[in-house]
This record gives sequence, structure tokens and C-alpha cells, in this order.
Amino acid sequence: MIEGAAVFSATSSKADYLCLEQESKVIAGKLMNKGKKFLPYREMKSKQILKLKLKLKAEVLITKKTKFKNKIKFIKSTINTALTACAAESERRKLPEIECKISLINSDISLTENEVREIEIASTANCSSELNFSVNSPAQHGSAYMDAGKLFYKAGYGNFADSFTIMACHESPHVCSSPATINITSFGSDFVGRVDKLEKYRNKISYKEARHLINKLALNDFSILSDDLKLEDGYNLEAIVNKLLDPYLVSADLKEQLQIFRDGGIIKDGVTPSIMRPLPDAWGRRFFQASTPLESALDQYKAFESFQHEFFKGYNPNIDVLHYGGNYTSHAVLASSKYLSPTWELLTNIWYGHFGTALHDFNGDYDGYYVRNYMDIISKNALGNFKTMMLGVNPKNCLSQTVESISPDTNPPDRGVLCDAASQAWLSNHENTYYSKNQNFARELMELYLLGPNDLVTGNPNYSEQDVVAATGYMSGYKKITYQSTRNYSLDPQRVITREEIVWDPARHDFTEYTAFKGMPFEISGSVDPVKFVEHIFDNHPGLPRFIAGKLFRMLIYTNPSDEMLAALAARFKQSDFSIADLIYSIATSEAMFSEAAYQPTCIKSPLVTISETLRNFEIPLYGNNVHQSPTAHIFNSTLSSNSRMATALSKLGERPLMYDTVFSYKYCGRNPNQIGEDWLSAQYLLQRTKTLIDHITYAGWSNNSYFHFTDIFEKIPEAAESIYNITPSVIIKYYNKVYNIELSESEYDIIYKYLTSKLDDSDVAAPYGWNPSDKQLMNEKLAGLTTIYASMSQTNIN
Amino acid sequence: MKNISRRKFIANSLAGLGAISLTNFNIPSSFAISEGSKSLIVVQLLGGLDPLLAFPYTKDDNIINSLRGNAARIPVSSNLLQIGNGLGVHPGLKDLFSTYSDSTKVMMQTGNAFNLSPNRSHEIATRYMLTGGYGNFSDRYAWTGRLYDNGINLQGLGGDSMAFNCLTCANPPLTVANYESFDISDSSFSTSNNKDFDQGGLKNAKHVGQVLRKLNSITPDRKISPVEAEYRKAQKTMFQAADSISEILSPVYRTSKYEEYAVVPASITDTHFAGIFKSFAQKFRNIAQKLNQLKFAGKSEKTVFVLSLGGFDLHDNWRTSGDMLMNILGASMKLFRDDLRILGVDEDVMTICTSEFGRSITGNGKGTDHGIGYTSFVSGGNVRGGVYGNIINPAELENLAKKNDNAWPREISQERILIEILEKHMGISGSIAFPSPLFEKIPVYGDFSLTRK
Repeated sequence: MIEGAAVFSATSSKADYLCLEQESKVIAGKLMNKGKKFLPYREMKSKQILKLKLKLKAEVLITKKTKFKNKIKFIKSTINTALTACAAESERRKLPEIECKISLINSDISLTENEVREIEIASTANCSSELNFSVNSPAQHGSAYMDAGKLFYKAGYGNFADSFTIMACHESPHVCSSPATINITSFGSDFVGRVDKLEKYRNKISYKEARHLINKLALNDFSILSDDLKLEDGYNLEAIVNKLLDPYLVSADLKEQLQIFRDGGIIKDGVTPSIMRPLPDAWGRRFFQASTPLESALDQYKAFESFQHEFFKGYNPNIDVLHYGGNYTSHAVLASSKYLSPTWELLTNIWYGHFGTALHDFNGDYDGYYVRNYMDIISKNALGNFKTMMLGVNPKNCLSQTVESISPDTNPPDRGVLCDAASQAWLSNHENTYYSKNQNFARELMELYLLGPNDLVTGNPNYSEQDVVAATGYMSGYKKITYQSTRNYSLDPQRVITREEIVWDPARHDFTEYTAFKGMPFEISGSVDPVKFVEHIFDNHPGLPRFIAGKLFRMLIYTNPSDEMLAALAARFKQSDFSIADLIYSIATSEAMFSEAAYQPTCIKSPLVTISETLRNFEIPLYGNNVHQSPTAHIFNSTLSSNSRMATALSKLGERPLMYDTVFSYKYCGRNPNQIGEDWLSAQYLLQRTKTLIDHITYAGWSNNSYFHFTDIFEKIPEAAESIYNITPSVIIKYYNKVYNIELSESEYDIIYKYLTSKLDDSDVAAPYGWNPSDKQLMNEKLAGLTTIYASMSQTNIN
Repeated sequence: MKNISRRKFIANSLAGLGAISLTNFNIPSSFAISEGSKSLIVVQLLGGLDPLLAFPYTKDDNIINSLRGNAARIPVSSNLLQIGNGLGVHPGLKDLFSTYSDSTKVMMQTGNAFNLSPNRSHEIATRYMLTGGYGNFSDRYAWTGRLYDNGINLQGLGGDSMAFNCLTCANPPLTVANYESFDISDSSFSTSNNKDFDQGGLKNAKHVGQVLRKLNSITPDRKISPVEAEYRKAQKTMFQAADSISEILSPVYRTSKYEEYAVVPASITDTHFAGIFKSFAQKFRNIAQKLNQLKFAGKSEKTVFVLSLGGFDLHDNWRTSGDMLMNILGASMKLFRDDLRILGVDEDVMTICTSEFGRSITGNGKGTDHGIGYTSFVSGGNVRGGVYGNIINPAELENLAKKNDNAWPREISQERILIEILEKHMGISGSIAFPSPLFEKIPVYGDFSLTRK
């Protein structure tokens, strides 16, 4: 909604007739027999006359033999004659003084998004009938235009202040008033940030703006907007953003989930789960001690992290360790997205896609260490420091772990993506040696990890084929080794298993003195090791901050930031020594974040985001309450395989976190400029999206392991507090609109209302049936269907 | 028979006949495929096809060995099927080429005409391959999309063939990875006597499906952003596809080889690749079903199918993975061709196997790195067989590796081959797919003599 008031008042008191271009042409043309351009005489300086010398050479009827000073003299004389005549004509045609006043009739206007409204202009009686209006400078958020003599303003998206100028002009002789500004002011002042501006937005934002922030940066989890973030008539932007950047922010339903793991189930609604007892020692100690604290968010975060780590260590006495590949890894990613800080997880998932590994490439699939380590590197730095994520806290660790330093009993030192086992194996760098070059890692390091093929601002290549050759030499020297380890994470601490690891082996490194980025200000040459090369790019290559900051902005806010915006983002990113948190803070509090461009939907949400949002909004749990089916069947055996259907669904949708089919990972919105998501919204993707949503939503409501019923949703609806019968179809629709942050049209509302109050007859025709909130079976059916309908609607799937 | 499809007519007729098997049903000659029906199948071999994987040399093994070692070469042996001039084909393609010795044309040193400074980034090169000229990420108009705009039926079957980039199209073309799972009513609303769990089962699924269709069919009286408009368009195609695919999959159109597409050949030994074979072969089965449906309907239609087979980025595991990929490609295409011959439409369907770029001339110890030129090949009953383009002598490879950044050059543009096929086989002007000024910039490379007629 745009509401506004505008006042326009302009008086053209004197027709100050100038010797305009057209008249000058006519008069000068008569004199010179040519129609060359002349400036109005008042604006013409003597220097300009001299400059006309060459231009007029051909037209001046003098011979080549005429002396130069005579040529100038002739030209001056000719022009002066023309201007004198023009001035005389001007005086002759001078209009009488006009007292013409114009104003707006509808000074208060109220517009909805994209609405067109005529702005009526009134003029006093003595205004000439020849008076016309024109838009002099355009509106910023909407568009102002004249049509058939009438002035119109078309609103854009959002609720914006706007302004434009118009002029009143007399046609013959042509004379215009000075420009007059029309202000469209927004009473709510929503989304008045300027596009592509990194300057700070005001701190007090509206509820609508706060929801927009959550929609963009926090998986639509509106529970984040707690009362302590409120200001009078608004929300505290700074406080919300700080909350989003808190790594230990966990979802409201995590505690209950962890209690199930810790206590073997919880009593819910007076019902004791079928098996409720402390976890048997052999299992229980692996996850939580009975005394594991779950009170604070930090407690819950630690407990969940421990759970996720154990998830990869192995739990099954029959196979000793969990095969982590495929759906289980996706499941772990989904679990984090559901329960941990939405902003951290959003960023974590972006980085998973950015680096695009496939963990099955490492042969140690009996040992979850690689998965866990890789996920830790990404998730711990997701809103931390990009340089640290790439190089590790101590970059030298990439060169210090050698065959000799490997210990069978201790974990390798922390390392960054650069030399992490999962990345090295994914891109074959452990096979890149001085005698046998493999370009895979070096190429993707520059193309995918750090620079992108072309500079986002200049469009110039960020590296050449020769640079790939040099980088391949620089990156060589890693090796995959096999060794015996007791660090096996199985139930038997004495058990020795065969493990694989990546180590630095200088004997394989290429010490040739290559030159990379030759001729560029950031040229590097000599015998360079992997750490030095990557540090060099961080410190010197201008493409890196543009690539990373630009990519994050496109994926999170809108897909086509200007070059100036990219430059500002890159400068900020570099200045902060590549702090991702600082970058996100800048973006989240910027004018651009609350501009029309950011508010207008531009993205198709990724499958993981879509699923996570639904799970979060309805607090649909990933694990059931009665987790111990039998003494030998652990929670994972009983629930993981069935819950992995959600991860399977992700795979069907083309997004397989950490198990990508190609280095492109998933075709995320904004991955490339103007990319809206999937390259094309194919029927297949949409069908899978719809079916997947149905699958995971309905499963949550019927799984034997589940303790979620759709009627639980009633508890979240304020109207139900007094009586369940207050839950009418319209109340339910209103609640879903709020949860999904969408606005239905009247026709859409009618269709959904009809669904809630009808059922199919034997001929599959919808017939009136009625609505009764106390009929649990009916409510289960309708809410399962309604959730599916909302989750499938186009509005829900775009951002 | 207005408003009654031929399938329904036949099905109804058969119902009256009682026990006659649908699969044994003899197609009446009046239903023979129309003269005008032509198809092109574009198989994108993604990751960068190594010329020496598909078409190894049959001589000078020692030279190739010195360049690549054992890990990235098909050793010369008497088993290699020779196609002339010192070239053979990978054993996995042997059956296909044996059958089609005179119906397969191999195109040497293929590349994209517009990737002027050949970029070896997968993403950029793939974009050139898909768009056929426009490499800009923000410009999403593709040659396939332009054909679609001009009335050519366009269908994508999974992978990057999804990227039709058809922004000009009123509705997106049909892109379906797997016909068999394209059933919107296959939803899992539960049925249970327990009120806590009952969700109305199939009835509710149907009802929800109806609601979704209805929501898509109306024009909401609210503002719709451009992205949402695109989304709604695609949704519409989804519902249309659901209807048309259920018809294509009807047993009425079962082809003779229908069951065999699901049988993994013995040459594909790895379970991972067996899964890929099934999925890939199924796409060919779906195309065969679609062609059979067209034949039954007596429709005269020009159709372009696009599908992809990934995994050719063989920096390592060149031999093991490469063998499997070639086996998958060869076995599924051979099966498809046999099916088409039985259907009597072999001459109407042409297949081109193409890639985004080639591989390096030398090996890296385990495989090969990114290169430029690759070898593409065209097959079909209407293809005049042979090798086209300059075959580089193995002895020249070492020099070429130094001269050309370790890559095979580009000599024949992919776009020129496509134009040849469009014009000579499909009867479509190439300038529709590659309009001016693109058309004029695509290098001419002599007379391909591509088709028999």
C-alpha cells in the first residue's frame, strides 16, 4: 500500500522568450544559406564562436585565399548579424506576462502496489489553452507519465516514498515553467531504502519490513521476531540482525527433540511413549549423558552438535559405523537447517553449494571423520571469516601434516577447505604431482572457490589458461595415504580400522618457477606452495572480494546489483579482512535491503530452503517420540531411514547437499547474475517439488514414530485459546497466510475456502461437506491438504 | 472421430474385440507415420568428451602411450572396430557402429563457433553448447528455444537438457527427466482408522490436485511479479505434461523392445553405472513410446529431444568410468535403434552426440584435463556414414599439444553440424535456430553429405 500526499504549485509569471535554437537556425540560415546549429545567444560565449570556426568553414562563402583573421572576422560578423536579428525578433514576439497558477486536485492519494492513478491538475482561468504538461524527471520507485494530456503515476512494489517533477509548457512560442516537484510520501514509510545503496537504513523498521528481513535471511522463521526486538510501532533492526548473527540461536522446538534423545521419549499431552527409558549405556553415552543440560540455547546447540557428530561416527553394532553417504548426509544438513540458527544454516548451505563437493569421492566411507570435518569447516565459518574457511585458523597446517606426522590415535590438525580431505579428493588434487599434473583442483579453485571466470565489474577474465597451468604446479604435492588407526569411533575402542588421509608431501610438489597472472598488478612468480598462492589471491587479486561479496548479495537479496553496489560490497568485504558476518551485517542493515528491488520477488527458492521453511513454521519434528523400538534398534534405525525420505526428496529435486553430481552443485538463484533459480522451471522440477512437499508434509502427520498431528497447529492459533470452535475456515486461511507470508487474491481465497468446506464425491466432484474443528479426522485431512496447497503455491516458492 | 484420440479409438475398439493382446496388435497401415514426421535427438555428453575415448587410434599405440600412459588410453587391439584412416571406436560403441557402419558419421575436432577464446570452464562451455552462440549468463535464449518458438515440438529429458532457456516461449517446453514417475496423483495422503493419522487418502490427493489445477488456471486479481508469472507458466505446463505423459505411457504404445531397456547389459558391471544405464536407457524408451504414439495418431510432427549423459569430466578413473559411460551410451543407443527399426521410423530419427569441450592431449596420470576440440557423431537410418574432418596423425600430437595449449583444435563448428541436420534431415531452415547475425558467423566447412536422401 502506498499512501501519499502531494502538493504542486507553479506559476509562470513571465514568458521570458529566448532566442531559441530553432529561431536561430532560421535566421542564421537565411544569412548563411545553411542551417547549422546555434546556441541561444544568452548562452553563447565568444570562445564558442571561435570553436565554430572549423565547423562553419564549409558554409562560409569565402575563398581559400581569404586570410585567416579575415575568416574569423567574417564569421563573427555573420553570427553577430544573426543574433542581432534574433534578439530583435525576440523583443517583437515577447509575450505579455502570464499569471497562470496550477495545482493538484487530489493531493492525498492512496495506492496499492502497481496501481495506476491519475493525478489531476487544475489551472487558473487565465492559463493559456495551449498549456501542456510533461514529466521532467522520472519517479524512482514507480513511474509517472503523461497520457492524452493527463498525468498518471503507477506505483511499484512495496510502500515507498517517491518523487518526480513536471513542467508546464506553452507551445507557441515555446516556453516552460521551472520544474515543480510532486512528492508521493508513504505514511507507513516501508521499503524506502534506495536501491544499490550500502548506506545504513533507519534502525526502526516496520513489521512488514521485519518480516521481509526474516523472509530473506532467516528461512521465514517468524518466531525470531520476539517481543524484545520490538520498538514502539516497529522493530529494532540492529537487534534483529544481531540475533540472526548469533551462532547459538536455536529453534524453539529443539529442546523437546533433544529431550527425546536424552530421556528416551517425553510425556506429551499426558501420553507416555510406548518405550520410555534412559538410553542403554552402550548407546546413551554416545549421545547424551542423562545429566546433559538442555536449558540454555548454548546447551542445546552443544547437545545438537554432539548428536550430529555422533551421527557420523557410527552407532550400529552390526556395522559398527554409519555409512554416511547419500541421503544420510543430506538428512544431517536438513536437520541442522531445521533446528539451528536459520541465518547460519542458510549461509552454511550456500557455502556447501559454493564449494560443491561430493563426499562419496573419498574412499573412507566407513569413517565419518571426513564428512564431519568438512561440515565443521563450513558450518563454523559460515558467518565467520571466508579466509579462515579457505585456509584454516593456521594456514601452515596445510603444509605441516605429513606422512611422518600422522598419528593413529589423534585427529589431524584443523585445516581449511584448501587442504581438507573431502575437497582434495573431490577435485583429484591428491593426484596432482610434479610429474603428473592434474588441473582439476587448481582450475576450480579459481573458477568456483575464489574468483569466478570473469571479473564481475570489468568483465575481464580473472585468469587465463596459462594461469591454470601455473596454479596446477603451485597446488601440487598432496597425497592420499592409508594407515591403521584406533581412532575409529566404533563401540570397541580397541578396534583398529584402515583409514585414509590427505597429507602434504613435498617430494610430490612441483618446484618449477611458474608465473601466474602475468602482466597484471597481482602477478606472482617463483616456486610457490598452495598456501602462499591462495594467500596471494586473497591479498592481491581484486576479483576475489567482488566475486564472493557479489555472489552472496545476489543469492540473498536481489540478482542484479549495480557495478557500484558490487564495488561497495567488495570494498567492505576486503576492508573487514573477509569477514562474512560483517558483510551480512552491512547488507542486512543497508538501504538496498529495504529497497524496492529487494522487496520484489526475484528468486525461486531452493528445495532445501522450501522444505526447511515448512518444517520450521509448523514445528514439524524430524524424529519421533517413541524412539526405542527394541533394545537393539536405536533411534536411527527406527526413524532415520524413514525420515531420510525428506533427504531423498531433496535429491529428487536436484539438490543433494554435499553429494552434488557436478561442480555446479545446484542451480541456486543468484549463483550467476539474473539467474532466478533452476535454469528453467521445468515441469519435472515443479512436479517433484509438489510431490516432495506432499510427501514430507503428510508423512509428518502419519508416521508411527511421529508425535506431530496436524491438529497441533490449532495450538498456535490465538483464536483457539477460548474455544476450538473459533477455528473457522477463514481463521485457518488467515493463519496460513501469515505463516507463509503471502497475500491471497479474492479468487484464490474462494478456491481454498471451498476446498476446506467440501469433499470429493464418488465421481470425484467436489460437493459441499461442511467444517467442524472437533472432527479430528476431517481436520487431519483438511490441514494436510491445506499445508500441501500452500507449500505448492507459486507465491510460497519464490522469494 | 472428432474429439476422440486415435489411442482411445483403438482402445475402445479393442475392448470390443475382447482377448486380443494390445502389445501384439497389428498397426493398421493407415496409421503409418506421416512423411513429414522427423526427429532430432541431441545427446549431451557432459563433462568434456575425450576424442580418444570414443574414437581411439588403431595405430601408433606407442605414441599415445607416451602421451597418456595406460590410465587414459584405449590400447590398440584387434578387437577395436576400425572406421578407417587409423581410427577405431570404443568397444562399448562397437555394436552400434557395426549395425550402422554406413549410417553413422563421425565429426572430428568439433567445437563451438562462438566460444572464440575457447574457455575451458565447464559452466561457460556448457552455456555455449546450450545456447549455441550466446554465452552470456544473463542472455537465456537458446537455439532449441528458438525452434520451439517456431512450432518445433521440443522435449527435454533430464539433466542439463532442462536448460532450454526459452524465455520467449509462451509456455515452457516439456522437460521431464522420467516419464514413469510423472504422476501427480501419486501422493501419499494416508488412510487410517486412527483419527490422528487419517488424511483422506487418494480422495484427498485427488481433491488437492484439483485445487492446485484450479489455482493455476485462474488469473488472480492481485499483483504478480515477473518471477511468479514464470512460475505459474511452468506449473501450467506441468499439468499439461501430466495429462499427455499418462497417454504416452499407455500400454497401447508399448514398443517391441520396451522390456529390454530395463535390462542392464553384462558389460556394465558396476552398480552405480547400472543405475545410470537404467535411467539413461529409460529416456530412449520414452522417446520410442512418444514416436509410437505419434505414429498411431498419424501426426506429422517435427520434434527435437534433448537428453544428457554426465560423467565425462574424467580427470581420474578415465579408463574404468570411461568404459562404463561408453558401454551405457552404446548399449542404450543400439537398443533404441533396433526398436526404431521395428517401428519403421529409423530413417526419420537422427541422433547427434555432442559435448561442451574436449580433453587435453596428454594425460595427467589418472585421466585427462580440460581441452577444446572433441569428436561428435551422428547416427540414424538417414545418415550417410563416414568420417568428416581432419584426422590428426598420432605423430603430430606432441607438437599439437605444445602449439595448441595441449588441446585438439576446433575445426568443425557444432552449430554448422546442427544446421546441416536441421536443413537436410528436418527440413527446417538453420537460420531459425541461429538467426542473423549468428548465422553468418558460423563457419562453413564444405559439403557434409550428411544424409542419404
